[in-house]
This record gives sequence, C-alpha cells and structure tokens, in this order.
Amino acid sequence: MWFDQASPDDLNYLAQYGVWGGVPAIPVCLPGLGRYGRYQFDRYLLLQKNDLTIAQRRELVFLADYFHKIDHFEFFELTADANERDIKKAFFRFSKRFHPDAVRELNLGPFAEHVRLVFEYGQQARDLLLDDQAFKDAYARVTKARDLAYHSKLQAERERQHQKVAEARSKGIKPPKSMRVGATPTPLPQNQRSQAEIDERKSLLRERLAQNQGRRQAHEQSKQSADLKSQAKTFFMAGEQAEARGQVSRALNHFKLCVEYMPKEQKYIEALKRIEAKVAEDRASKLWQEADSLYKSEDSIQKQAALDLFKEACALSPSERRLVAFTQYSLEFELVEDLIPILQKTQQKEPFNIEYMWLLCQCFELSKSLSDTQKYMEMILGLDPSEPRALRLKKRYRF
Amino acid sequence: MERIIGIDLGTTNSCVSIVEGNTPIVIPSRGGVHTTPSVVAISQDNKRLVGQLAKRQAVTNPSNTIMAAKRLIGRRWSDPQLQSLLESRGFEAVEGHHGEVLIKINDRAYAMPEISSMVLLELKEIAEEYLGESISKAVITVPAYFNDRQRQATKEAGTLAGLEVMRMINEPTSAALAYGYGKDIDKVVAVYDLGGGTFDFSVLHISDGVFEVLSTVGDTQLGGEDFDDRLIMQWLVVEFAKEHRVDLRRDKMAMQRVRDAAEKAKCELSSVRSTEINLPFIISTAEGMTLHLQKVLTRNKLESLTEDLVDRTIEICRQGMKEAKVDIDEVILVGGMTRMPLVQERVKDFFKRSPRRDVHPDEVVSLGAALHAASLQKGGQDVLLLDVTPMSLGIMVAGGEFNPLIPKNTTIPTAKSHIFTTVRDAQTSVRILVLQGEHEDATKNDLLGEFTLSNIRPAPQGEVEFEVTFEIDADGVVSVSARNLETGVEQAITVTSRSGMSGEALEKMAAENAEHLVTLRSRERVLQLQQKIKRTLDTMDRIMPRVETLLANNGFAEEALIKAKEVIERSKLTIEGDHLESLERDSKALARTLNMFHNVIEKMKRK
Ligand SMILES: Nc1ncnc2c1ncn2[C@@H]1O[C@H](COP(=O)(O)OP(=O)(O)OP(=O)(O)O)[C@@H](O)[C@H]1O
Ligand SMILES: [Mg+2]
Repeated sequence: MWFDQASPDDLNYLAQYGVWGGVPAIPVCLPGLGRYGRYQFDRYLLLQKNDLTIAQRRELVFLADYFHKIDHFEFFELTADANERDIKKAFFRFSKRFHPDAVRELNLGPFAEHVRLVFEYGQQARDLLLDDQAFKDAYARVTKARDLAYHSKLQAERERQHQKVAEARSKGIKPPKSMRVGATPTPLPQNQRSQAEIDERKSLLRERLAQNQGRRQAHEQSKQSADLKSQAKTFFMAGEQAEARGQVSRALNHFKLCVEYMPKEQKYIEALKRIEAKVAEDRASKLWQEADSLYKSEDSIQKQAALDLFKEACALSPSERRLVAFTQYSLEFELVEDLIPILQKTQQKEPFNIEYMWLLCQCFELSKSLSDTQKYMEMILGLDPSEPRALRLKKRYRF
Repeated sequence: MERIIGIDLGTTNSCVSIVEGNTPIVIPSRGGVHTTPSVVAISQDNKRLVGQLAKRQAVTNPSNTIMAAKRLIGRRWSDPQLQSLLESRGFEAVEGHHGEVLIKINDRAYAMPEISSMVLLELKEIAEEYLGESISKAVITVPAYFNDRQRQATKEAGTLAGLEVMRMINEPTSAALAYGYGKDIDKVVAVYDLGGGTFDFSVLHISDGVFEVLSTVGDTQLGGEDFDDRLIMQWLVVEFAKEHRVDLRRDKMAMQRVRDAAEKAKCELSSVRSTEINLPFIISTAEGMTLHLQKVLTRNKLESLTEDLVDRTIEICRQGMKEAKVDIDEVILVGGMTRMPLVQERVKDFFKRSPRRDVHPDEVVSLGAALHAASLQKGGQDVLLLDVTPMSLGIMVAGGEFNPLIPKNTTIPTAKSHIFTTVRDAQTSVRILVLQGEHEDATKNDLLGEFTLSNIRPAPQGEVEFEVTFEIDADGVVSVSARNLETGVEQAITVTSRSGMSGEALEKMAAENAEHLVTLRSRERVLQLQQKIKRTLDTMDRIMPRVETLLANNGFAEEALIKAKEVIERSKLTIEGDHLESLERDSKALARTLNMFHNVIEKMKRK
C-alpha cells in the first residue's frame, strides 16, 4: 500500500483531523467529523425522495458529494501548496454556496441542518489550513508520499509492459497496439518564422486587440446609457404613480433618481421641481400646524420654540397668509432679523404685491432703520397713491 | 413579495431604509427628515409622543421623557455601571421582579424593550406610509459589542412593535456592507463607529461580495452622550456653581435645557472655533432671583475636556488591529460624533491615512441593513456577511474558572462541543453555568443562563461524561445544550434576556453550586494545568530580576522571596509529571506568588 511509505506518525496525526490519506475509490462518510459523523447522508436515498423538487434534489446531491470529500484541501478544491490568499478565496467561494443565508430561499426544510453542518465543517477546515502549520506540513509530506507511491506504481506497470513487448518482439510476434505504451512522442514542429515576421504579427495582433477593446467599451457604454434610460423611465413611472396616490416623499425620491440618471431630460427636471414644491408646501403646512399649537400655550419658551418653527415653514414655502401671521408674531416678540431676508426674497419674487412691502415697512420701522422704511413706503405709494396705511405712516414720520 | 425594511435603532437617532430597484434609500419621515430622534415621551393622559415631537417638548417635560433608552436596554439593575447612567436623567427608574430595569411614568412601569418598541413602531409607520403597504419584517442593527442579553432585548422590542426580526446585524458590519456593496473591490476595511451611546470598531475583509469580519471590539458605554456629560458635569455646572453658588443639578428642567445647549454647542464646534451658550432664566435662587447662564465655549476647551475619551477609542482600535492581524486599506467613519475634528485627526494619525469621506455617517448603517434584508430575500447571491461573535462563550468549571468553548472573533453561525466530567464521587447532578466574557475568573464574566442535569448514576469522580454544545445562530443569539453521554439524556436552554447576573450575585451563586459543577476530563485538565503553569513561570522569569532589585536590602522580604523561589522550583518539577492534585496545588500557589510580585511592583512604583 502507498501509505507504507508515509511516516506512521504523520498518518496518526492527520487521522485525528479526519484525513486518512485519501482512498478516492471508496466513498467515506466523513471520518473524524466527530459529532457530525452521526449524520448519515446517503446520496441514493436522496434521489429516491419524491417529495422534493428537482432544484432541491440537485442541491442535496451536490451537498452529499461534499460529505464524501475526504480531506480538507479537497474540500475547498485546493492543492497542498495553496497559500493563505488562495485558502481565503476558496473559503469565500465555499461560503457563498453553503452559508445558511445562501441556501435559505431553496427551502431545504430538515436538510437545512445538513447545510449548516457542511458550513461548520468548512469553517473548521479553514481554521486548520490557515493557522496550523504542523497540519499543513504533515499533509504535504503524506501527499508527497502518496504521489511518489502512485508514480512508482505507474513506473513498474510501464516497465512490465515494455518487457512484455520486448519479449513478444524477440519471438517475432508483432505486439498489439494497446500494448505499445510509452512510445517516444513526436517532437513539436519547429518554429521557422524569422524574428521580424513574428514581431510584425505580434503588433498586428495587438492592434486588433485594441480595436476590439475600443468597440467593446463603446458597446458597453451605449448599453449602460440605455440601462440608465430605462431605469430612469421605470422610476419616473413609479414616481408618477406615487404622486397620484399622494405618497409625496416617495415620488420625490423616485424623481430624484430619474434626474440623477438622466440629468438633462427636461421632463424629469420639471417633475422634480413640481414635486419639490409640493413637498416643501406639505412640510411647511405641517410645521405650521405644530407651531400653531405650540404658540397657543402660555409658556414663553414654547412660544419662542414655535417662532423657530414658523420661520422654518416660511422659509420652506412662503405664502402671503403665513408671512402676515409670522410678521405679526415676530413683531410681538420684537425679533425681526430672521424675518427680513425672507420677506425681501419673497418681495423680489412678487414685486407688485403691496402686502409684502407693507410687512417690510413694519419690520424696518421696528428695527429703527427709517431710510428702509421710507423706501418701501414710497414703493407702496408709487403703486397705489391712496394706500391708507402708508399714508398714515408718512404722516407719522413726516417723510 | 413582502418587503423587508432595514432599521438602525440608534441611541440618539434612528433611521429606516429600503431597497428600491437595486438602490438602497433612506425613507424620509413625515417631516421630510431622514433620521428620527430616539426619544419617547408619555403625557399625563398616557398618550405617547415619539421622535421629533417628543424631543421638542423634552425641555418642558423632562421627567416623562425618555432619551437614549438604548443605553439601558438589556441591562440589569445590579449592573455596576447602571447608577451612573441613571444619574442626570430626568425620569425615575426602578428595579423589576427579574432584576431588570423599569421606568416609572404616571404610576405605570415600562420595561426597556417596550420603550424601544415605541421608536420601532414609529419607524415602521413611517415606512408604511411611504410605501403604501403594510410591513411586518425587519432587519435591525445592534452595536457589535452588545452582549447576548442586549441582543435578546432588542429582538423583543422588535416583536413588541409587530415586526418579525429577520436578522440582527452588527452596526459596523452593516456600514461596511453599504460601503462595499456593488463595488468590485478586494480590500481590508476598518470601520470606526462612534455614535451617541456606543463605540464599535471592526475590521473586515471585503472580496467578491463576501464581507468577512476579522475582528470586532468596542465599548457599549462610550459615545456622544459622554462627551455631553463631560461638558455639563465638568464644566458648565462647575463654572455656574463657582459664579453663582447655585447647583444646577437640583432642577431637572434646567438640566434638560443645559443638556440640549451643551449638545448643540458641541456640534457647532465641529465647524467653528468658538460658540456661545446662552440660556436666559435658567434657574432661580432661594431668594427668588433669576439667574442666566451665559458662557463662551472654545473648541480647545471642548477638546481638553474630552480628549481622554477620544484616546480611549484609539486604544480600543489598537486592540482591534491586534486581533485582526492584518494591515488595512481603508478607514471609514460612521456615527455623528466622527464629525468632531479631534476624532478625525486622531483617527488619521493612528491609521496613517485619511478616512474616506464618501459615506454618510448617519445613514450608512440603516442602508446596510436594508441591503442585507434584500439579500436575505434573494438568497445571498450578491452579498454575504460572515460576521463574528464579539465575546468568548463558555461555562464555569470547578474552581470557579471560566472555560471558553467558543473564542471571540469566531465566524457565526457556529457550534462547538466539548466533553466534561463530574467533579466529585457520587455526584448525582451537574449544574451548567453559561458565561460570556474574556476573564479567566468566571465570576468576572457575565452569566447568561444556567441549567441542571440530574439523575446521574452515582459513580467515582471522572467516570460519567457530558458533552456540552454551544451554538450561536446568525443573529448572534446563543443556545446551549448538555448531553449525558451514558444515558443520552439531553437538556437545553436558549438563553433569554430575563436570566443573568454578574459580580457579587454571581459569586454567591457560584459558591452555592461549587459541589455541582463539571470539570474537564483529567487528561485534558492535566494538559491545561501544565500549560498554565508554564505560562506563569515564563512571566515569573521575566519579572524576577526586577522584583529582586526592588526587594534587595529588605530583611522582611528576603524570606518571602526564598519561599517564592521554592514554589517556582517545585512547580518546575511538577509539570514534568502528570499528577493532577499536585498540579492543581502548584498552579494555585504560583498564581498567588505572581499576584504578590505584581503588588510589590505596584507599591514600589508608587513610592
Ligand atoms: N456636527 C457634529 N459634531 C459633533 N458631534 C455631533 C455632530 N453631529 C452629531 N453629533 C453627535 O453624534 C451623536 C449622534 O450620533 P448618531 O446619530 O450616529 O448616534 P446613534 O446612531 O443614535 O447612536 P449609537 O450608534 O451609538 O446607538 C450625538 O451625540 C451628537 O451630539
Ligand atoms: Mg449609530
């Protein structure tokens, strides 16, 4: 037997981890797996189970094969000279296949337990391969002995054949073809092209490769942009649906994604603007409500907190009604610094609305900057010379 | 198919996400903001307020407002850290029947999972409103360094909120998932997560869509709140007392306002160099005079007050890097506190590279949870998490020692088993005490649960054997079973949040149960003891010269030294043999001697 040549110490050592040195012809039921040894896993029995779907059955047969793998390297489809990186990569590949999460949707029922066992065994195997140099060394020695034994067996076989052939020849019999082994191979055809020719062909090849690559990139780009386009389109449709159902913030997200994918498409930009205004308005009205209820309380801290909310609402979506109310509250608290910029911005947007000018007049009056007050008063009178509030103001300050 | 949401249940802010198409997005709340404060308030008529609304009214209603419930969830009343956590909080906490923490509001006591479930419910409703369909499943994130009890309690909160918790994943892992998703990378990434209440540090290897956690360390009692506490307790309160001779701490309402202002100032100082804290009418004196608090706080002052907290996080990172045993390619910063310039600076210095700026510190955790939820539904085709258990798990064996079965940083799900035997002749029952922690002395760890195997055949010590099996599922939740190998009788527990204790209570219990413990099989025990003695001897050799110089010219110490040397010589002989009792004796004697040496060194250092 081949393992006569391996050191018995090594064999004993490996046996403790379940590596018997590999006898590939006989499927072993995971020796040395300790408590997992209890789980018999018969491939043929599985095939006969009728209540499983084909996908499930395929998975289980695949699994069963794993239970018959007989050593740790084989388990990961690695060779004994694998380095740390190889082992890690192999373990990742293995986990993608056997992590309990990965097989969840296959719905393996009681067999899910087996998957877990295989995964746990894989973990142990990985730890052993990564951390245990003694194990690796022993494994390498034993496999070397196995390979040597295998080779010398082959060699002996071959020599016997040669002998037979020689014997037959000496007796003048032509040996059958099947017996002619180990004939000298025909030499590979010599390469007779000149160096220059080779270089030329190489450069030609390279050129073609580059062309191909360029084409592929162009193709991929166009595919990508087509992808983006169709993605954007689906998002747009979903967005419109959400809008119709009144799910404003969801629609907003969808439209945002549309614009992100197709930043130049006017339709999307408009939709986004529309929905943004709506969201702002929604949010403003909610803030406003909240603020209103806070403002009603008697506590001055709460009132001040309310003022912050009012401000936020106005900044989000200024409307005449809100600004009038907010100005009134602010005047009560004599806090107008935050208010003025908002008012000015709105006024610039609607330059013919007398109401905004009047609000500004009031604010500036409070903050004692009379020149600004006068400016807005004159603007009001320019639009409507008989505006009573402005006239009163004019009288009061004798502008 | 029903959709699964991803929830980041934070100490200060929570966030809910979902995957639309292939893109994970944050679901905005009604107000259009992406995060919801984890604040719950109960009004006089037992109505609940959650989130922004609750936070806003906190100033006027501090004793009925619960903030940072996550710092208390899954904690025991006997927890040594608990009292300091409760200090400076407005609400009233009491001890429950099972030793858990309850919060009393309007004569009703609320358990911590109940409070957290209110936040979860709010998030669930936000998601339902947004999606226009009902939601009943979620993936929830927890700090990586949460222990089993805290995880269980969080799961309970989910159930109370009507959510089936499909999976609990660790916050830093989740952040890494959101960061690495869809990127074709092969990198080692470190995640530094400093949030409102907890600090976590994880190192991950990301490759081909597999996220393998290499190490996880952290502190569940270190976060933005501690920075605020420093500002308040070591500076604002002190300065105010100096100036006005008034203790702000006696007024809950004032403290709440101070707390708000301190946090605001801290955040502002991340972008400006100095800011003003201005709280008019903060408190009135006994004579009825009202006082104002007005102070200027500079970034330098803040940094000098909190520098040691930042240094503590860096120390923890060092530990994590040591356990991961690899070099990293990237650092990502997660959590609101990482906006603080000092934090960024120290992280940069320690890792010798600038942290990445393309992750959103407040949202990335919940995005990762949503991604994981989606991948659970799809069957892990594009992403797979290989997370680890942050703490070692094991049982108490005879002599009060902790015998870990699953070491920390083991990939989960996992199962390990080990065989133990009885400790004395004619022992008819064994007691299995399940513990979590890193300390050799079992009583210094956290007890998760306990159970008894009885009806054992009376036999000489060491004859009857038991196989104890530990399992950690993908949520990080532990179950333990023990099997009598003679009769095949099996006993199992799933550790629940109700059981468990630590410290003194555990010591008492261990003493009561000393007779009923299990021990390693004698051969293993001999090996273990030999190794242990060898380790101790090595340490002794290292410190011996120092001790000798320290104790020279000290007649009294001379004698002790000679005795110690005797013990050492004897142990060296003992480990050659395998006589169990002498090994036990010498191991103990050596431990005592080593302890004495350490004391000597300590004392001399102080002199
Ligand atoms: N700009 C800033 N500068 C400094 N600190 C900030 C800033 N913004 C937020 N913080 C702090 O970050 C903390 C909140 O962070 P985050 O929302 O990430 O925590 P969390 O997820 O609720 O908590 P955890 O993850 O610990 O459970 C608070 O303590 C807050 O004061
Ligand atoms: Mg967080």
